[in-house]
Amino acid sequence: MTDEFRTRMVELLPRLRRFAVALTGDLDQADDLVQETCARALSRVEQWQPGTRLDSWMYRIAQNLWLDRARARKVRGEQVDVEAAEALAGPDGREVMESRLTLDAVSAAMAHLPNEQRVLIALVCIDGLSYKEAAEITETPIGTVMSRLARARRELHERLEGPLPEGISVRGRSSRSPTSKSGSSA
Amino acid sequence: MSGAPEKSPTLEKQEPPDPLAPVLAKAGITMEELMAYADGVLAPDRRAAVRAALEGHPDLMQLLETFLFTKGAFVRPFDELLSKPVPRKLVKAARGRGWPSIRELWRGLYPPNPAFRTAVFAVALAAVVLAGWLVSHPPPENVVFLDESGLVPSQLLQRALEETPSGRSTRIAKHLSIRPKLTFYGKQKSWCRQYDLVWDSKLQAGGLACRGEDGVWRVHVGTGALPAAGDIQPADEQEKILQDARRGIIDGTSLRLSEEEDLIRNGWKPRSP
Repeated sequence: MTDEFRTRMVELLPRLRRFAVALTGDLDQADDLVQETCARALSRVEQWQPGTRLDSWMYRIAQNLWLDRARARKVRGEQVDVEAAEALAGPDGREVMESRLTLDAVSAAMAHLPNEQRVLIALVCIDGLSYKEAAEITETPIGTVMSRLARARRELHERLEGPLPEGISVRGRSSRSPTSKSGSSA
Repeated sequence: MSGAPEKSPTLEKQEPPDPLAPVLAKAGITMEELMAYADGVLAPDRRAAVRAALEGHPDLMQLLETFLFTKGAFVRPFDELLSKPVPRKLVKAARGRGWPSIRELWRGLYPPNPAFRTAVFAVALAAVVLAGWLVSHPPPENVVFLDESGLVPSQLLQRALEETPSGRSTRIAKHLSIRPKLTFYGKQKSWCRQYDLVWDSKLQAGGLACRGEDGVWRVHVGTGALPAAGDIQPADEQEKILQDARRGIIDGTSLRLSEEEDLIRNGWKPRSP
């Protein structure tokens, strides 16, 4: 099984890397995360059930590693995601947008989302998984997945395309400051 | 007064009311239904309700566009990453050491038949014997070395496996020659060869090696009865070990000599699916 497992893991690398970039907002950090994810997966290969989806299993590992890192950074009082993203894209992703969205701009907008929402955007919008699959990976009820996802999508649109008409803006009703980073809100 | 405990409002984070909530309620749909509609996964019996809500409420149409945006233009910069080359260090990390441990072998990398398990045990024992022999009788040149991905034959042995047709011998050290016996395609999608190692015209050891995607031959199974090794394994016993191992990894049958010649001439091209 192990050789086949490794081959499938190599095939999965481009998608895993895209997922990691969506989470970290930075290619170098994403590559570190992917590398760590592969090492963790290989060390626990016996936990993967043949016949089940390898991508979901790997995404769960990557997600957990990234959340652990994010928690550790939070304990240290770092706010690097948003600050780094703003250094790249300006305080508002729209300011660097010309004729099309850039990776820096979309990453900057993602950096403002709470971690749980970022994972869902990466799984559903970017990787194209279903709500149910995302619920299984994040071990969250599907209703919570959908409400978090809807809110995250409205926020991303607003940051990148400008606010919706008065009354339906998601940022206007947020209790968070625009640049604060939350790791727990739904 | 209800007997249910009341939660203190100061302890629970209050989400501000969604300004769209009244619009959605009036339209008879939920935010999640609108999102599922945009994603094309809404249950058929609710699609008409969402369509009617969109017709009657232009605000909802704009909200629908936010959902479409986050599955369209927003995703493209991420998708561009898929066509970029994956850094070598990541491929290496995913391949890991590329060499199955004895534990993995035991757990069924190859079919878990008792004969094969006995063979693995015999090979492990033989490897210990071989290691002991090498300590006291270092060969003139390294025959195999251990890299991160497993036992890799020396340059001379690599070349011999790459170029020598089955049945012919190539000298790889002063007293030592290799004689490939047969070539076959392995279940792990790679070409494999069974070979004999001959010391001064006498069969002393044998093995199975498979060629990786990187063009490097790696020893999968080796028997090790060399001179002065103490317990010499009879040739038929060695053959049985290798036969059992071969049965575990062969995909189809071994190649005819003409097919093998073509393969060598064409640089060991992968088999077409």
